[in-house]
Amino acid sequence: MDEIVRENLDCDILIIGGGTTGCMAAVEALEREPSLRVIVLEKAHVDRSGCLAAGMNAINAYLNPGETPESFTRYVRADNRGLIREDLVLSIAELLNSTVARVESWGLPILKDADGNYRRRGRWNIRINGESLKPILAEAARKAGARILNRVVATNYLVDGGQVIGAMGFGVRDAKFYTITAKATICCTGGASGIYRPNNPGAAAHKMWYPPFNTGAGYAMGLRAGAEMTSLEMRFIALRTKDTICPTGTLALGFGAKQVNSLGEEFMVKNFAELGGNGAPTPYRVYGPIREMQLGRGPVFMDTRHLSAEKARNLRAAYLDMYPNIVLYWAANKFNPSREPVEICGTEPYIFGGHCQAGYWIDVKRRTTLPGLYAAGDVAGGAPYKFVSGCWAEGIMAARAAANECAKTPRADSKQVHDEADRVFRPIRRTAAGCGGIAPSEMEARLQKVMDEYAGGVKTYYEMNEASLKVAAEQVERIHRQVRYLLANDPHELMLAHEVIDRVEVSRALVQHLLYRRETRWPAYQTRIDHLELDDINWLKFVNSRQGPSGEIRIIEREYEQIVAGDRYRG
Amino acid sequence: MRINREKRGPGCGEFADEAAMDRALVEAGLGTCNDCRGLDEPRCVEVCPGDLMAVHPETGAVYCRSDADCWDCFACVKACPRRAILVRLPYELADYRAALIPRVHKNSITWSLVKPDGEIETFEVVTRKER
Repeated sequence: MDEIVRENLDCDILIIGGGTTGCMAAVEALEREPSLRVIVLEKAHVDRSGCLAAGMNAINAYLNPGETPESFTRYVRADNRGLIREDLVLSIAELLNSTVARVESWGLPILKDADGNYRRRGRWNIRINGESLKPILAEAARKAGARILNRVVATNYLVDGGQVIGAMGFGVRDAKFYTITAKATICCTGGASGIYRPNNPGAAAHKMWYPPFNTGAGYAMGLRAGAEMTSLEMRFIALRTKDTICPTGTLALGFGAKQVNSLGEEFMVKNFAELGGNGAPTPYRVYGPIREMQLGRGPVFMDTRHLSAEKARNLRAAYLDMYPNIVLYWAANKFNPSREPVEICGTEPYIFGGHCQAGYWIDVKRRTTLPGLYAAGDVAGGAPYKFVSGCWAEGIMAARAAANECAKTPRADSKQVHDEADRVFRPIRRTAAGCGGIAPSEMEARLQKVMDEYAGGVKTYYEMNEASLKVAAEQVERIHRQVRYLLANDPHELMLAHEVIDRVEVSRALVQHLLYRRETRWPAYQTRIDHLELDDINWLKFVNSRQGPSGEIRIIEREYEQIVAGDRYRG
Repeated sequence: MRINREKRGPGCGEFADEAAMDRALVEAGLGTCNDCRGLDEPRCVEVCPGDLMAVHPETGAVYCRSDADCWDCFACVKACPRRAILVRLPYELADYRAALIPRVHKNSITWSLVKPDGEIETFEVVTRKER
């Protein structure tokens, strides 16, 4: 490869990831202090990047009339089996409604009833027409004065004596090596999909729910820099429509569809009445149907046969705001939800902190364990049930802290920069030199196979035990030792190479977390078949980890603190 | 992902239903790709969250690097100024063929759902408050 072209930039606040959280963080920082120089680093294009690329049809974390931050926290605690960071969830809850109003003022249409009140769609949900939610957020960040660098992939933090002072990466369009120094850095990359083998094979592999382009970069960069992570073992397995892997909340909350098995039984009511039946905690709403399939009573469905023709049309319109492909799929297959129930399935496990709580261990100001580095949104841990509006709240809190705590002018260490440029471009250099090696897609397939078969993927109904996890750990280590053989023909493939490197990095830590928690706290998300009981005496605590200088994963236990009074299993 | 370069629609029209569908596609507004000549970067290439739409280095034509990597987010479909991109579902999942074509307005989208028999159903969806 030719000489590396370098781009060196400096700013006050560097935001890595211009998705749901990053755009909001940029606006907050610049509205508080317009003189700040804020850079948003985005690997795609901010107009349609991250989780909101296709849109959203509801806000799912909102305090409807009569609810309080405490009632929200109690609900989230019970929904997550009595173990959350209550300080983090409370702080999010306090900002939810004002944040939604702020985005409404930027142009988001929120559905209202005849009296002008937001239209509810469940206890914590309101209906929106959010097809353009992402362009609206991107426009706000641009108008606020953020400098947006589209098509730049972040690969590692710049670190000076333990302090994070920016990040490095490469341009997917210009193939430049970027070194960006910053007084404060906020990680908003989102979580990780593609760790496990996806539901659909081959040409349909990316028909997944969580964005296939969220590949764990934020976690991997944090692990490599020695940041503490929490609760990676609390994977998220979503209950989704078969084949298209679209959200089912639209069916359940928006259109009153109940889960039924192939015998027509409402199995959630039958088997989980004491946990709330159809309103049982979220892990049970995926564990329940998986169990039906395991016991030979599948396929399982959301029963939509009560819908009138008009309601079925409204249902399709609601999906157009968020997952248009299910509307196309139903038309192609001549499927009518008024006549037939919608088949559902569990997804491959995803790792992120927006629904579950995998991510950076942060304090209430969203400071990570590394000075100068903040984390917010899906990449931040300890606060499940944040969804879109909770991610906004965290972006705001991280931006406030970062703006107040900007350190002195940073200076990048030239050896660190040189070594990273060498690592980043190795796959292209090797290919140009005619070396043999491994294509990113090959490594991805191997990783996904190992994780699926030994670390609780779809194949084993999400079940795992110590023996299988030890196999996973060994196999992932083997793959990890081979990342240096990856090949890339061009900057696009270089991006794919670094995506799989980051996924391998996340998998190493994830398997250690899964091994360590010897109970089953969250059925399906974390079914330890050799430790099936929930065990509050020994395991009411957080499993955290930190990668040491030679790459070893060290597990750290952290205490749980109850702040909001009441029964932890009642919301 | 299918980039349309034919004026009459992408089928050959050998069968009656295929011909009806092609007529419906044109009626629903399907246009033809001109590779956004004159722009620094074609709109679909600019916006794709997976960096999957690209300009072929030799022919200058827009193409999709990998259908299997597409997330079906419709970002390119909505961004296309000539409505020339169709999301094609993998045959593993869906019959040949239906289409979903959005007309993007300032504050709304009109979606035309073209069914395999050529029937068109339209949906009007608000995307922004009045501005």
